[in-house]
This record gives sequence, C-alpha cells and structure tokens, in this order.
Amino acid sequence: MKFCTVKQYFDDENNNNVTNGIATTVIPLPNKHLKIKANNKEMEQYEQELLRNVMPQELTKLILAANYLNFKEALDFFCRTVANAIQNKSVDYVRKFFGLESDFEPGEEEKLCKEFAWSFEGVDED
Amino acid sequence: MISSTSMISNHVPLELINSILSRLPVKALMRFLCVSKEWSALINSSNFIKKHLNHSIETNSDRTLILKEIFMNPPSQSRWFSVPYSDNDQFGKAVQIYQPLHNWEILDYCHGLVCLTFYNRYEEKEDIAIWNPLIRKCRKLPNEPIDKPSGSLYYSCSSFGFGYDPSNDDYKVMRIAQFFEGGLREFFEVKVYSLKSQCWKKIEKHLPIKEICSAQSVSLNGAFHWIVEQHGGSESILAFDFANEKFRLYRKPSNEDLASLEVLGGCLCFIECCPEIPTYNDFWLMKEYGDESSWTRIYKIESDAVLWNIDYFKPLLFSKNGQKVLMEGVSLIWYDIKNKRGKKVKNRSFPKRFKTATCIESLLLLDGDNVIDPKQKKNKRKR
Repeated sequence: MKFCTVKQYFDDENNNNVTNGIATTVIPLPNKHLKIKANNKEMEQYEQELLRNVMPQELTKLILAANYLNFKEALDFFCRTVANAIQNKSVDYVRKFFGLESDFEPGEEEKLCKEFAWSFEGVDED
Repeated sequence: MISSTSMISNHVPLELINSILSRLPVKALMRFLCVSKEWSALINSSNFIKKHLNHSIETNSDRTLILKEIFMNPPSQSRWFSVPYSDNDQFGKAVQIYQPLHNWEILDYCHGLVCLTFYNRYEEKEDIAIWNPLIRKCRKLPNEPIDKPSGSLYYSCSSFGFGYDPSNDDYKVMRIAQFFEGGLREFFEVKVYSLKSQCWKKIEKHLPIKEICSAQSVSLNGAFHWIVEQHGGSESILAFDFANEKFRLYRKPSNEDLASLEVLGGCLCFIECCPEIPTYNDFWLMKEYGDESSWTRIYKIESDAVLWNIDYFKPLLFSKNGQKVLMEGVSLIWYDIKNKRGKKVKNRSFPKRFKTATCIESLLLLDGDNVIDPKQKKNKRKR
C-alpha cells in the first residue's frame, strides 16, 4: 500500500504538496526502518543524523508528508523525533517551531506560567 | 498560496500535534500548557490524558521512583526524593522533593499516582490523599466516618487498598473496617472511594470470612486482594472485583502461617516468610490470574544471600531481562535469581532507609490541587 501511494503521488503532476527533497527522505526510510527495526541503537543514530542534517522546521514537513502518504512507521518515527527535539525547549521555541502565536488574554498566560513555574526550570537556552 | 489544506505552510494539524505531545514527559506538557489556548485545551482533555498514559504504559521506559525516608527521629524529619529509573535498569541521582502532606505513609501506587495515608492519632481516623508527584498535584479524600454497628461489637482496625478499575476507567480506594465481639461474632464495614466521582460509597455485601490478616490489599486486574482467615481457621486469599462488586476466595500456594501478598511482573505474588532461624522468604507467582493451579514457586531468598538482618523483602519489579528482582528491604537490592545472590543498590544520593513508590509519566489528577513548596525560590522564569 505504501508504494502505491508514492507512485500515485509522483504521477499527479499538479500535486505540489511534497517537495522532491522531502520525498527523497521519506521513501528510503521504510527500507531502512524495516531492516533495522530490531536495532534500537541504529535507529537512535539515524534519528541523531536526521536532527543534525534536517532543519527543525523541515521535520514538521516530514511529518505532514508521512501523514499524507499514510505511512504509519515513518509518522511514528518522525513524531518521536520531534518530541525528543522539543521536550526540553522553551514555550517561545515551540511556538516558533510550529508557527504558533499566543492567543491568551493579557495576564492569563502570566498566571499559568506562574502556577507551573517549576516546569520551566532547567529548560534549554533558546 | 497558503490554504488550509496546503502542506507548504508549517501548520501541523491538531491530530498530529496530539501524536507528538502524547510522547512527551509530563514536565514538558505542564510547561506547554502556556503555548496557546488550543494546546492547553488539548493537554487538559481526558482523551489526551488517556492516550498519553497508554503510551507511558506501553513503552514502560522512563520511570521515576519516589523514596520516603523511614525511621527518622522525629518522624516529621522524613524527606522525600525522586529518582529517575531508566530502561537499562540504571538509577539516576535522587533529588529531594517537597512532600504534599507532612509525615504521610505510602499505601500503594498505580499509573503515576501515589496513594498516601496518615493515621490521625488524636481523632482516631485515617486521612487519605492521592498524589501525582511528577505534575505536583494532589487530592485529599473527603473524610468518611466508620459506621459502627449496633451491639457490643468493638472496632478493631481498618485495612486499605488503592488501585485501577479497568471496567470503569477509574481509580479506587477501599477501606474495610473490622469489628469483633470476643471471638463470637465479627462484622465488616466496606466502603469504596471513586476518584472519578470524588465520593465514597458503601458496599452492602457479605464477607465470607472471619478476619482480614493483612493491613493493606494489593490491586491487580481490577480487584483488591487480602490474606484472610476463614471460619474453621484456614487462610485464603480474598479478592474483591470492582466491576461486579463481588468477593471470591482463592487458595494459597502454601500453608505457612506468616505470609504476604504483593504484585510482581503483573502477577499476584505470594511470599512465605519463615520467622525462625534460618529465615527465608519464598516467592510464588500466580502465573494465570484466577487459576489456583498456576501458583509457581519462582525463587527463595535464604538469610545468608543478603547481608542484612531483615525478615521481609518486598519485591518491586523484574530487571529488563527478567533475571533479577528489585527488592525493598530498608534500601534497594537487586536479587539475582539464578545465582541466588543479593546486591545492594549503591547510590550516594539515596537516603539510608526508605520506602518506595514507582511512577510512570502520567497526567492523571491534572485537575487536582497544586502542591506548592513554600520554600520555592522565585527563579527568573524562562519563557
């Protein structure tokens, strides 16, 4: 099923949704993943490599591509990679990462941050 | 150019945000409540909390041990700590944490929640609270009086239990108060507290037993279990099922008088304790829940295997390869089943003597009361 979707993808010339660069990353992944499924250490290394070579914002595009291609293993992998990338980051960093803005009323956000001030300790520098 | 269905924009739909966030540790999630109203609503939703919990249970990798110092003089000096426990059976550094309530005891724990009790000597009642240490939330249970029966029965003691009810996706605290009349009659008052409904309920069911022998029950597969004495003098294991609210009895694997129940590796664990020298602890597991013929002896700790003068080792969990068991004496010990040798866990950051609770990452009780450390310094908040 995975490969049918990919083929259909490239046949559809009007489809701008997945840039070539991203399709290149996504397609080789299934083979690698299936081959080294049992080896967690190699997957960790691949994850590190991905984080080094791919810009954070590109990771979100990989997730969207994997979701569109209905490619569950790649989606799980990229979601986990993004989770690991953001888990110790600040609120501002995460907003930039996903292109979000605060929609809290003035003072509302301050109140929340104060209530859970302990969760801000030890966060990575932006 | 950027439409709502276009993937050229960076906009990740909420369902994918959901998948990413469900993999995060709870400390990050508490911080990300401040990202936006949508994220706050998502993280607070019961569906997300359930999804996140299921992921923690399935991966079972990043656990935290909560340690409570014991035998301190005065007892109010007892400190609490949290220790990361990783997938490769390694312990990190113990960090002191603020306890929600002074000098309370650990009753039991489940899915990141720790149930605490405190015996209020002056008012002669037991206070109970449920705590999620990783998100610093707590809920104190409403005080529930014991309904004393009429007649000359006198109150003996209460036995407690805390556990998960899968049929109602709820967490329950159970109290069985025992009354006796000079060995002639006995009476039991059974009440159950539901975390979901936040109230106590009386169970009007007859207990087919004479006496409950254990101070606390163990929770497994939606039921509480105790060692009990039946009319006629023999001992059995009593189980109370949350779903159908029925009691049933199981046979013990051995007839040794001094015994205890625990949960180990997802199975009911029966521990025979021989009090006479040479002392030993004999461990049995009910491999198939409910099947008495599946009681299997898995190992026996002889007194010379561990260099301690303790008569009871509480088993906590198996090591990743299943060859060792982490035990709680006054400190932690790894017991190697094949080589029959115990080795103390050496970690300078641990207190000398303590009891433990094991927590997984969970957002349960996110709607509880905040546990605020009054000594918390006003750090420069990093946004």
